[in-house]
Amino acid sequence: MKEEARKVDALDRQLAESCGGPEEAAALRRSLSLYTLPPEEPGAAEAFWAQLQPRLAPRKPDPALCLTPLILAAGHALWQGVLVALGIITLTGGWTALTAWMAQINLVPASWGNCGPLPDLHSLAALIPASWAAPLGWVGLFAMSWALLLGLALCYGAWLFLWLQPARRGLRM
Amino acid sequence: MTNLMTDAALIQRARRGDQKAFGELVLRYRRPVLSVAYRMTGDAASAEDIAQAAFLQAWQQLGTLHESAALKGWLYRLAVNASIDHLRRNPAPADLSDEAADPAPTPEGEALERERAEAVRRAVLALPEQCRAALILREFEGLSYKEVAQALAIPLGTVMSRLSYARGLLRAALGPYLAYTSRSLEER
Repeated sequence: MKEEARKVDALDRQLAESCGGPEEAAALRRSLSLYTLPPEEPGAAEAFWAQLQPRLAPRKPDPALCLTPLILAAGHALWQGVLVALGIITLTGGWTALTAWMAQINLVPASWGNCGPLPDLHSLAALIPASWAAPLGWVGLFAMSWALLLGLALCYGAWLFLWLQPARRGLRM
Repeated sequence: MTNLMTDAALIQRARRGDQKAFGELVLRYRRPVLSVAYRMTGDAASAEDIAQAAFLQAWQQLGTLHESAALKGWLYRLAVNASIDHLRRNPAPADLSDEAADPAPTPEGEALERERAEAVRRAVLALPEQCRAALILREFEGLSYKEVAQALAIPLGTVMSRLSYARGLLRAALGPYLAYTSRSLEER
């Protein structure tokens, strides 16, 4: 705070010097005070508002104002969804089923099935039919992970863009 | 009710389309906006139009105002921009003699004071627009250098150079009057 005040003092002194010294700066300041707004009639403020009000179009909410939190919420929900899904999969032992299914569609080497609790799962994997859908497993997983990543990137990218928008619009001169 | 509300609360309500809340903000800030517009143009009627345009724009862009604390500076900026737009659309200078004209005979001292006021007005209006804006916000509206920089969205160094340039031009234009003012200040 003191630093700021010192800086301002220094700037003032510098300006006063460029202006012919403090006396002349004071004289200039005093002269400038002669340039005043003409006196107003009573009720001028009300008249001003009465003239302005009919020109105010009903405010449409700025789309950025609604979209920014919405998009952020969507990104947040997406993350929450991922976390909840992971939680459910863990709690229900779905990882093993998933691994078994992945082994069946050759997403993970079959040798993985021999470590840990997986051997038991081969029987479970056998339950999941190695149907026509199996080759699509790769594509499905690939598409899902990319969709998730892209969705999140899109959400946060759009949020950042909208958030920066007002600052860009506000600047001029 | 609205009289007791803070600017932040009024802005919030105005953003939701409450014209009454916006009207309260207009009543609060009309005078400073008008004052900037008048000093930028030197014409009371133009200043009214400019203030109207500035508040209209404020209504339309209220959603872009991030901090309610920055409202006054933001309105100053809108007023300065609207004034500059007005001056560019109407390049002919305002009738300078019109504002000062007073047919009633007055004592010599008063006449001299009015002559000085008119000289100041002419000198301010002769400044380049950007320098004039910085000078008005600093000297007439009493903003700090930092606030001037924020209101005009320019660096502090640019504010200083514009003010220095403006003061130099004013010194040159008001030389005899400044000497007179210095003398009268010393006498006091």
